[in-house]
Amino acid sequence: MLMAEAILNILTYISAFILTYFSVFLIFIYLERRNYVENYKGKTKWEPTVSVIIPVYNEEKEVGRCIESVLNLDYPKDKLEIIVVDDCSTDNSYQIAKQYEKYGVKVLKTPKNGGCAAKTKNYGVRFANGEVLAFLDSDSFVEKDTLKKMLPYFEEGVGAVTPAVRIWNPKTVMEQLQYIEYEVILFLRRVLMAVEAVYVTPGPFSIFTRKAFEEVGGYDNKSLTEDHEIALHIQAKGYLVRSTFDANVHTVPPKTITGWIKQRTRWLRGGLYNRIKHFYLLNILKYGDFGLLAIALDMILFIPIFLMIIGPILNILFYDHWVERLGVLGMLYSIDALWGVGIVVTVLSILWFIHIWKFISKYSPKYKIKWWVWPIHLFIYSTMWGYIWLFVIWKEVTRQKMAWETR
Amino acid sequence: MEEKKIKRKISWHLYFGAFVITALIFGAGFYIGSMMQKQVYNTMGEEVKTIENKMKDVELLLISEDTNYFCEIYQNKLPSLDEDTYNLGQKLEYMESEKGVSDPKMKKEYFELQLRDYILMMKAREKCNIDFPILIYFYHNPDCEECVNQGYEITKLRKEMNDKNILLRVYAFDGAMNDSIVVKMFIKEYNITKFPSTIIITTNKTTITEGFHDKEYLKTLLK
Repeated sequence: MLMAEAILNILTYISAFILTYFSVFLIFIYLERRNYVENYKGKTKWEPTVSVIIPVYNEEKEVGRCIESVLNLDYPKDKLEIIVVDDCSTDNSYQIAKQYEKYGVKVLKTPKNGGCAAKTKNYGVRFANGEVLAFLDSDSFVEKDTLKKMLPYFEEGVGAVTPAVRIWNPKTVMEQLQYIEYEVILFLRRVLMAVEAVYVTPGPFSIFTRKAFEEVGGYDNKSLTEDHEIALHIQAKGYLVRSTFDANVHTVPPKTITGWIKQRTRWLRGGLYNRIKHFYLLNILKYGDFGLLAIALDMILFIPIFLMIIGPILNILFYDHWVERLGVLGMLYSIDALWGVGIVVTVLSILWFIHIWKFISKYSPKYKIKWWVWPIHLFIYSTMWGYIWLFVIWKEVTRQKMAWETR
Repeated sequence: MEEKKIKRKISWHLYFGAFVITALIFGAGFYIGSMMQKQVYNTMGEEVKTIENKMKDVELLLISEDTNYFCEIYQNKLPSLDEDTYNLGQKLEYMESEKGVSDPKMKKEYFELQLRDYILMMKAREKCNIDFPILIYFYHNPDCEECVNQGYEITKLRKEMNDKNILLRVYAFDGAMNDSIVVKMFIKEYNITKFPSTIIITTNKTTITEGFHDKEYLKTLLK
């Protein structure tokens, strides 16, 4: 028991330090390059030919809206090519897409179901002619000016530009939690951009120069999160990834907790595979901040995650009954130095959150979020991530395959 | 468009700066936490004084030899005295075993308080014709794993007896406090060699048990 407590204590201190350090580091970047993070919108005047590839699998409800949004893009029609690739859907997705052929949309069908978005996207690229390749998940849709706002970021050395992926019309609690999360991620991606360390090119409407895309051989068919893999890969090849804040793409998140767990399990499993594949990025002398942030810091974060999993297990195994002996109020006697650290860090985190939300809300769509969703997001939702690793471990150990998913 | 690959750099100044600030935040947190803990400990010091004052009144009555009045007041004050003393003991034990915070002076004062309470109670049993079971429990901080669980069993037993309106007087002593005369005296009186040890005193008998025993077993000794 004493040994277990000592381990828990040490892990708690290390975890608290790592999490605080990571947050402070991001704040430092932000403070140093605040103007760049908040205002930079790219400078290049470039109007390339663009191929938008839309992979589809059983999205009959959403695919029409997705194609229409691309057709409505404010971009010269002679420079815009739209390719819908259906991965042998079992619903009416293909038939719905076919209705848009009259507007010049190319509608293809893979020879057989490939089982993943990566294969479908790569298949579509074979038929694409654009200098820039854009990929748009069929459950998402763009705004009229999305593409125009992204292209100026293609400066020297930039191989990909990511859009501002936003949750569409969040209604359920899970959707609202993810709405806040996505907005914060957007902001953090801008912060990471300030040190050239953006490490995801999200599925909904990330755009690539053909050269960068082809140099890495396209999407990795084996990865469950090919949008993360390709971001690591093209940067390993020396390209940069830039992030916009106002080039909106709207997406639909999982509505229920089960769907959320399934999605996040896929993300983490994919992330694990990608990090192992690109482990060499740890050479920080060659890959700089990007290598450190994309691989090393991510791995250090395993310590708090490990604590989150092992802590409750040890507490159950070595339950010491103090709560019953002292009563709930009596637990105030458990106040110690770590409480102080917790209080200071929590107060600073809330202040930091309020500060960044002021900036976020300038661009964010105005949805009505239930008041109690905010504290749940701050104090519960973020920690739920850690427990997803239990599902990842289970699925990796039992070697379970995952099916076609974009959301 | 021309694509020129870039050479990456590492922002050492940011990593270093973040480390320093994180250390400062931790330092501030530690300071605040330690101050709060000290505050909590100080409140326990006040609790000792409050119990002492309550006890003093009763002790004075005992000296005055006004037996009737002493018995009346003692019986009135006993429930709150018992509760306060027991709870304070729990807190001291918790702070020491779980938080590694201990003030030997306060512990000694607490054990002396228990001794005074014990003597007072023995006198009350003798003079006031009242009878309740007594449990004396010896633990050994911080190196006794079983002691924490034994403490929990005693808490459960005490609660169960309280629910049945039977007052079980519990006294707890840390066998590791070698320099406390009170502890030494009790250890010598009951010849305690192992921890945890539990002594149960009823009207008819005194039972000394060594090692961990659950609530049900202890209950059989109370009969």
